Amino acid sequence: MTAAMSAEMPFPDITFHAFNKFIGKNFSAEISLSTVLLVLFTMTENSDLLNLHARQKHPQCTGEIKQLSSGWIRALARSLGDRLQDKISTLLMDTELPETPNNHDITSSLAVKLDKLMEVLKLSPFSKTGKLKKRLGPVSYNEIMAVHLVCPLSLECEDIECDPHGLHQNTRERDIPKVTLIKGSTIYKDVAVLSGKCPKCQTVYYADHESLNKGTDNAQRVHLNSAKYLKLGQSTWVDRVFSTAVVNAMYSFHGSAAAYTEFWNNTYANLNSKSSCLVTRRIIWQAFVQESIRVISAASNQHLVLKENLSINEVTQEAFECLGKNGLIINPNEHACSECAQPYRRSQYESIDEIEEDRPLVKMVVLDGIVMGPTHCAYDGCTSDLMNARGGAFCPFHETELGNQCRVHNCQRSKVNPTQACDQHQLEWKKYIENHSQENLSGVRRILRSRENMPWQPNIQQNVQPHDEEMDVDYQRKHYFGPSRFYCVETICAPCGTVIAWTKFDKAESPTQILNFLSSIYPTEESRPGYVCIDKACLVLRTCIANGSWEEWKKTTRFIVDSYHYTNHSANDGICRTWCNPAPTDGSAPNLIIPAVDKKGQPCLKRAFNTQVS
Amino acid sequence: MNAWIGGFDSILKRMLPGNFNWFLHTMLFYHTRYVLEKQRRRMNNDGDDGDSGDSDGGDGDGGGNDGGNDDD
Repeated sequence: MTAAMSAEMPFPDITFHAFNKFIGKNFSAEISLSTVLLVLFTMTENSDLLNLHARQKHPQCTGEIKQLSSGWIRALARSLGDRLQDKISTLLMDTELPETPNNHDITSSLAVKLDKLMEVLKLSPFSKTGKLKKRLGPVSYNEIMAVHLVCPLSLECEDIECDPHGLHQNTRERDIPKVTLIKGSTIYKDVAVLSGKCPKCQTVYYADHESLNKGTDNAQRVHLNSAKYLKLGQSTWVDRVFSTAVVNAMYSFHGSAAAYTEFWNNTYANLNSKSSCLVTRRIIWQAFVQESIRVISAASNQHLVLKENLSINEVTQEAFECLGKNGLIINPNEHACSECAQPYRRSQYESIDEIEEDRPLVKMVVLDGIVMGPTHCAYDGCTSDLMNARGGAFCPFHETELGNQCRVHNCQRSKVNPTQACDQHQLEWKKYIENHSQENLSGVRRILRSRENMPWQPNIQQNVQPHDEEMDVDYQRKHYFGPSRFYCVETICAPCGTVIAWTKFDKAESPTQILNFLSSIYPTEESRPGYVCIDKACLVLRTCIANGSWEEWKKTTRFIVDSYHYTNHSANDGICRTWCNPAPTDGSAPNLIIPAVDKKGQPCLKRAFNTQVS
Repeated sequence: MNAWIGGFDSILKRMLPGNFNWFLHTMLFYHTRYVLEKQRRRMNNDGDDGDSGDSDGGDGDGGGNDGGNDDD
């Protein structure tokens, strides 16, 4: 790549007069600007082909014949003809047009013209005497790169309470910032950024946002969903292709902002030696946040309005509060594809022909958790964010409340600085520090990553709960040296893979929390699905009966175990076998199994829903 | 799908709660959008020559395949 870049040639340095003269002499007077530019850039883009043609035009070895219209230049003429279709006639003078349209003749005369144009543009690697000067390299477009300016999208004031005034250019000439603009993978340096201002309501318009009430305490920023360019750093702007690529890369490759930064810098940063630009991890994270905010707010038909001058962490926090809908991804009633909803059946042997079109739909959702979660305040029952995310254990409130007190549970003595324990609990503190030291943790992480535990390595007890046993959620921490973590992320999915909602569970994936989560997503009877598939459905059912909410749930919903986990549930558990069977063949749940035909053409029964989606 | 979410664990475990919420929400939102888009495409094509159909969203490569340290 470096070799290719070093051999770049400057754009043809000829006067416009000379070029214009050639066009007037060789092409029709009707030729359009776009066709002329197409011909010009076709020549500059195919320098390798011009090398091959010029070599055949200038024989060097004995026995070689001079070919003015080589196979190479004819191929170029033919491709140009394919592209231009009917417009090809504008590349010929009226006198040159054959009486009967004939591709062969047109290609021949066009090839001769392209050869002449090659000479006019000085794109021949051979001198007039037929000596090879230097083979052509790729033509550089740096000189003809368009001048870019970043300016607001709106052409007039769009405030509902204001008139549609034209916007004034708001940035003073000496204050116009010169930034780096990344469009796709191309880097443009020294791009001017302009802002507009409504002369009446004083709203300031930028390319990616609008500033309301600027200069007052109530200054607000409207993030525009239709923004063409996004500001990511003090002097870095990017287009939406760049930011979309960041989010999609994170989505598809599970890539972190740091990984994407490295990838981008290795791939694109130095493509053009004259305008190279290294991006930082902060810029990539900013790209992710700005792009995702716009895509998600566009889906809910609103613009995100936040206070001015928020830090990026505050923006993400506010964005989740405004657009996150507490983890609701789509309205559960909006989605009903053929995989997620089946027409109600009275009997499992009812054939498709017997089912009328107006039968109500039976839906199923799958609920499952994955053990992961962010840190939160270590104090019992508190799940607020930490005051200090790097080393702190409490939220601001509990940090102040416990103050100088020893961090061991129920110890009232003062802690000894710089430790977090009193003089009597120094041993616990030392042990904690030892277990959480960099060396120890990196060792533990390596073991966790490789998933192997040799006999001589410490036996790490992972807190994974058995899914069909009651769990103790009331365990007490012995000390508050470090923060607590949410236990798991719980998702509700439709059988087709659509995620309906998600939430975080603290301490355990307890049936009570599952039931609360379900009630928050399905508050009304009508919205509830017919079946909820959970790996610990029998436990949830028991809790539901015990706390009385079954009276409500039983009207609309049954909890079933997914087919994978059902095989491991106790065969003697009557409740589980009777109520939570994912595919009972005794006809007790005709909507869970549907008639089908097997490979051999024999009729059989199959599961109506995919219970293994998560 | 859990295996797919698990792939983000190495990124998510170093995040602040605010970033964790937004990142996971965005990923699940995009996932849902792509699943629905694929369904729409399949319905339009009526299943005649669609894509190879091997990328059903939950592709199950749950390994934490990056060592990025996103501590933002």
